[in-house]
Amino acid sequence: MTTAVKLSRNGYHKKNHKVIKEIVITILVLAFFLIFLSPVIIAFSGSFRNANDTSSYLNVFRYFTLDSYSAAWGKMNYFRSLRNSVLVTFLSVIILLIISSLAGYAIARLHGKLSNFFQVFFLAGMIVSAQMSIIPMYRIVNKLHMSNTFAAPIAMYVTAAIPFSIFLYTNFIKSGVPYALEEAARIDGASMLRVFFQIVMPLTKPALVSIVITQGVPIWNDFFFSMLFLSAPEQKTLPLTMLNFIGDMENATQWNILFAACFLSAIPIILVYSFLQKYFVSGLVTGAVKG
Amino acid sequence: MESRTRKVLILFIIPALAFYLIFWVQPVLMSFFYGLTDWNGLGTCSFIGLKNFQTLIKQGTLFSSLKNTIIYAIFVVAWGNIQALILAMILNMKLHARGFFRTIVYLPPLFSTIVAAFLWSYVYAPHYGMISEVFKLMGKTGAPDLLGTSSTALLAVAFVETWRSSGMMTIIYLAGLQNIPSDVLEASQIDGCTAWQTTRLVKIPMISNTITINVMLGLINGFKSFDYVFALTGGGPGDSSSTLMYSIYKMAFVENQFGKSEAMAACAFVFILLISICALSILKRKEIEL
Repeated sequence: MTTAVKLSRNGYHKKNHKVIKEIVITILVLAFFLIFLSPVIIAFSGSFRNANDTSSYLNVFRYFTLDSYSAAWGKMNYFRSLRNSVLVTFLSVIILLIISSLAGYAIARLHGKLSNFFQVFFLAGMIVSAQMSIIPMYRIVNKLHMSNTFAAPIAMYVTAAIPFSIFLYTNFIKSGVPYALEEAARIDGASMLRVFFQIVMPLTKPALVSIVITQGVPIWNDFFFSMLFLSAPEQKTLPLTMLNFIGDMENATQWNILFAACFLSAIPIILVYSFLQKYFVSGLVTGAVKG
Repeated sequence: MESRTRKVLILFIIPALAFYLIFWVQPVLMSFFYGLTDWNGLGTCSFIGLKNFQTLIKQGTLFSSLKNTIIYAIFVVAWGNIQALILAMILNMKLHARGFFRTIVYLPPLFSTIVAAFLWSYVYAPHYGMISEVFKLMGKTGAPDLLGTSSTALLAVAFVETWRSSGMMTIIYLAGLQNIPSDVLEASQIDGCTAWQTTRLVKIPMISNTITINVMLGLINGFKSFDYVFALTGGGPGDSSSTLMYSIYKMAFVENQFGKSEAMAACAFVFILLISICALSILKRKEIEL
């Protein structure tokens, strides 16, 4: 009887010990994240500061005014830039999804030398970076009369994302989508396109999500292709409007507005992330494992 | 497979192939050609053979940007992976508010590269930046101007890259760690492994394919580094933080030397191709050994 009590008391102590350890670790992790995210935190507090406050930015959250936001809002022409960004990203991702899944599926089902050739041929595109051939790209876009239209950056975003997307999709089909289903539907008289859109595509939802996350987020955030191909102010996307602030980096008094602009440009995707976090994580992981 | 099906499948590849050939393959081939000319964007261009390559070697631009790119990539791979692996192991432990930490670790990758660059240009800013302010707070003077000093600029830029991309790598590592079967971990505990032994001898070998993925990801990002150099230092001071991609861009758009710029691009292409093949084969062999 006494030993039993002793034992349980011992167990209680151990458990207590464990809880304390857990709390200590949690506090350490919290401290780490505070340092890790300190630029974000300081910038966030800075974006709410009074413009005439010249004290250190390390004095966080002493003021709350939206002046900087309204200044940044105007300078970015926010709604117009947001609309442009949404339009470019949405169209790029939709086109990318359709053409890369069609090609990826075909490569997975073709077998043989041709299939191997295409797989390597498309994958090799991953080592190319846009900066390597900007001049030729520029000339081609001009020749196709696409310069200064959204078609130019969209075409480049789709193309730049093709190598990885096809690779991912092919691997996904090869490793998990049974051919028997398609065969059965074909015997029932469905066309290849119908088989693809009605049977294959729904089965490959994780791969499609992964393409949207791993390729869509960089497209949303990119400024390079828009910088090259869009010059009219009314065509500017959100990341491109951020370049307007580059001069302010030299000028200490303008940091408030710059910080506000940073958050204005990040808010849409942070909102999307907060609602669809599950998809972000699974998309990244599928992309990494199959890619 | 019947030949009609094959034909339809080949049709399926055509749209992607068209984009890829027109906007990716054609520019690369054209840039190889421009690399052999003295074109400057205006007027005619004449074929000058390998002279651009000779100039690049003689002026030292090729060597210095190659060196910078290698240093940048090594730092991004090494520090990026260490940081992400440690973060993933922490987030895999029992913690209060674990879900919250797992959510905010992915905050930096959501910012665009240009926003990340702005945030960090504040951190690095001399006199009134975050590092200077922290120095002042501790009563010290002489905070280093990391971006303005040629010996530190490159690594300061690379650090921003690891800061922003670590969240993505962490999530991939976390998935790898969660995929380790729990009976393996239990067995190692019963066999009397310390926490460090479990990590070194069980966990790390079992996530070796995840390590391969993240190392390749870091390498590719490292070799293509452009955005942060563009926004933070413009390659400076001097050429001390100019990477391959930034040098190519600068030669073309700032100096209008298209021929030379594309010659550099051809070198970069060959270099990245070789490195990727080597890295992949080494990592694949390691994976099997482990």
